[in-house]
Amino acid sequence: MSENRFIKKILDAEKRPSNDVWRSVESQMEWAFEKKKNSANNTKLFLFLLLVLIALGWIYLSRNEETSIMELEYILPNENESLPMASPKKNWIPPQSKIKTEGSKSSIENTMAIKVHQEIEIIQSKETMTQSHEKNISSIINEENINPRQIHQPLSSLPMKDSHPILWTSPHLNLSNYVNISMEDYRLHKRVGENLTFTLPSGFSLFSLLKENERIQDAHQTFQKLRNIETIVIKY
Amino acid sequence: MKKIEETVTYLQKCILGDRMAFKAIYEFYHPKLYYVISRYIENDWDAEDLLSTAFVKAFQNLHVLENADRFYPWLKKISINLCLDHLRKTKTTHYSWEESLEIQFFELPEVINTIGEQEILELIRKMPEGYRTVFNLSIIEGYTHQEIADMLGCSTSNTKTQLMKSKAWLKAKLEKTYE
Repeated sequence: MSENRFIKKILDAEKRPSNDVWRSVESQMEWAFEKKKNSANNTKLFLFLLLVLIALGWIYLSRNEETSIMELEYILPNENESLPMASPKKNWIPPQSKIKTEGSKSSIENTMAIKVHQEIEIIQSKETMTQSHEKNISSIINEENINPRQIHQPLSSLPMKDSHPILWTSPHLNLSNYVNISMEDYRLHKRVGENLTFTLPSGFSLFSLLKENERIQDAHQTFQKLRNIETIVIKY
Repeated sequence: MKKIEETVTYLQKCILGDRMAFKAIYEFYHPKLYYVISRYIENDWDAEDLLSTAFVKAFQNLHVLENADRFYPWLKKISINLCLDHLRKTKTTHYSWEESLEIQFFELPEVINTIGEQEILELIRKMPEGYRTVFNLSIIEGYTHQEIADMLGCSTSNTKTQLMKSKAWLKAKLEKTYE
């Protein structure tokens, strides 16, 4: 019984520390709070960095998509633009292997890529044709000493002398290779002031032929045809 | 703060990080807790150090406390564990004895009811460390010998022997001092 009272007395007993223990508790709590705060800050920083990384990744991916769209636009010319102006990459190799290997891509994307490839082939072939075409014209021009400035001008803007534009007004043009007329004869006829008309074997005149082929690109065809003419009858 | 309801309210504020609530809880419980720690630890400096550590540990683990009504027993348990850890680290106590004493029951003399708390505390603190620890755990805290043996890492026969010796020591001291 006495032991129970003794125990109760001890259990209810109190003792105050001589030193300010609360200060120690507070400082340790401060440290704990700081640690917790730092931990929270670190978590926030981590989340912020994660968000930045996600944003960067998203920007990178969207930029890649834009680039691929730009590439498509670059490859596929606008309908309003002429084909040579599109200037596709020469010797561009389509990503066939990519099309084959990337199984995750949809079939639409694959079809689009194939179409693009076909389009590029068409453009390239057209460009090759145009280049050879221009090459022919320039070679003819050089060969015939035609003033390129005059050739590239529209027919209507050329100075009209007599009734025969282009060929007859060009001082550098030598028709002796194409028609059986010398420049002397031409000058003679010109002095007389008569109109000259070349009658072609096929039945149409040189003048009308040139008039029909106003387009610069087709001029070389005229000359090609002229080359094949053996005799031109001059009517007075 | 006299009621348990108030303690619960303050503890809820503590969880939210209210420093004034921490201070209030500390002011209310620290004298009782310091007495408990002083019963185990002879040195005042060590006792104060352990007191602050106990409060910090409790405040940091408030979210673990399931029943706020049981805050003081929980806080006391933390303190006792810290004391035992401290004693284990100092390694001055050995709980294994070769001698086997016949366990007897020593009645504490009546004089113990007449002396004050501080004198009792002084007596307990003067006990040899092994006696003191087992006496506190067994007589004051009410742990069984098996629990004490588990806490101290010794056999139950050793704890029983220690308890018997501590009672004998205390009885002798009381008789010598107050009779």
